[in-house]
Amino acid sequence: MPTSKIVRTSIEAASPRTIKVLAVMTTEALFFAGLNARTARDLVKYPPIDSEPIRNMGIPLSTGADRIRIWINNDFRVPAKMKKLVSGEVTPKTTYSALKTLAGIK
Amino acid sequence: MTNRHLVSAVFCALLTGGVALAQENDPWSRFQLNADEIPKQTPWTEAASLSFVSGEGESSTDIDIAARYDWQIARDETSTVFVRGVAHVNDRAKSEEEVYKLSAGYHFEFGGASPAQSFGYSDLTLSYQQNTVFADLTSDPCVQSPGAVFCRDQEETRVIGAFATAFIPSGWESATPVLYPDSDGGYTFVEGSPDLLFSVSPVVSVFYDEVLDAATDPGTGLKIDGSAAGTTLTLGAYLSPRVLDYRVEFKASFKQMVAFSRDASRKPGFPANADLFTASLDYNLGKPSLLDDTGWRPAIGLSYSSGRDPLTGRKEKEETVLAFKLTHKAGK
Repeated sequence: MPTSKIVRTSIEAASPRTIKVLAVMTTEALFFAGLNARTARDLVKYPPIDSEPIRNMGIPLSTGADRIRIWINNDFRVPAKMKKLVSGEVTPKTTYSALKTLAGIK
Repeated sequence: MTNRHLVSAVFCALLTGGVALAQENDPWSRFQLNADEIPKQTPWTEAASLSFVSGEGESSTDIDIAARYDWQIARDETSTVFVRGVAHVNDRAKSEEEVYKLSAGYHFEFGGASPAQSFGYSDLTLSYQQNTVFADLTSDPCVQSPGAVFCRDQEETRVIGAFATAFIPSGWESATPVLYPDSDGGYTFVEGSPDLLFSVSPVVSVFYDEVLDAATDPGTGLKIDGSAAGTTLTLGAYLSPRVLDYRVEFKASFKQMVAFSRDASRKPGFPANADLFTASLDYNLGKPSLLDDTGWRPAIGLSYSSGRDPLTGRKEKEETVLAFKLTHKAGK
């Protein structure tokens, strides 16, 4: 049986709770991968801890926080019908944990 | 209570208020505090400052503050409207400056999430400004008529409309230092940290300046009001090498003003061209500012400025100051 069919069959057979868990895991994985693509630090090799500010991860000096804010708006908040974040709501001092919360990931 | 005392008190209140507001994390409003009025706080933007200098037979106060509050205009917009209060006060002999400004404006931004895209921030602002025109008691008119109105400090009021854009082209800035938590609770540099932190960005503005209530001109004895319009280009730069863990910081900005329209009455006091150059070289005694920029931060620094700014009333002057600096930055 092809892999795609196995995945589709497994998802169709999964309970609503499992689907929710999968959705959260997928969103969190997309968040992590997206952040990793926007930082100079290899977040797989040096994983972020919740309390550290995003400036530790090597983001563009002036615009890094704003670029991350726009990405969170476009990829997480607008699809979830949350209000857009404005300039200053994500700063280089924003922690990894706070950033996840802003992206709607609990 | 003089204006200077009032501004000092407001400055202190804002500094502590800034902490409180930042911690509230109110999603509909933002509060910023710095020394400049450009649409975007950059690494070369000077921090708000309040300093008292006491020397032999002379003491002086120097205040530079721009406090701003933004409100989001709609849930699906990143544009904001804002109000801003600005004070530039310096009572050092021959460098006197006293400018107060209240502004309202509209802020919007353009650019993308990818570092490959350029980014810009724009402010459309209407301001009411009050500045002091200081008397020159050594000038010929004051020597001849010491009781004349222009031999006392005079207030001048004006309205200024401006549209300013701060533009940060792709590739004109480095990344922040790359750190990773270590076992001691601190941080260590890991691969990816740049050898040189840098940020270069231009700010372009178009302005219209109308004097509402002018000071009496010593040369003519008349109140010279009228309008002037023009453009300014400011190029700012920030550099910090990795040696000494980015503790050495160099900031510079060059502002060129060109007036393309001036009423005849304004021509003597408002030049067709003016430029202002500022630069500072600081050594941070504590942690490097980019690694820990909140709380008290001691530094030794050399600051240089040269030129004039007719929009703020700064007269032509050249200054070099070597100082121990103790700054406090609010924030989480």
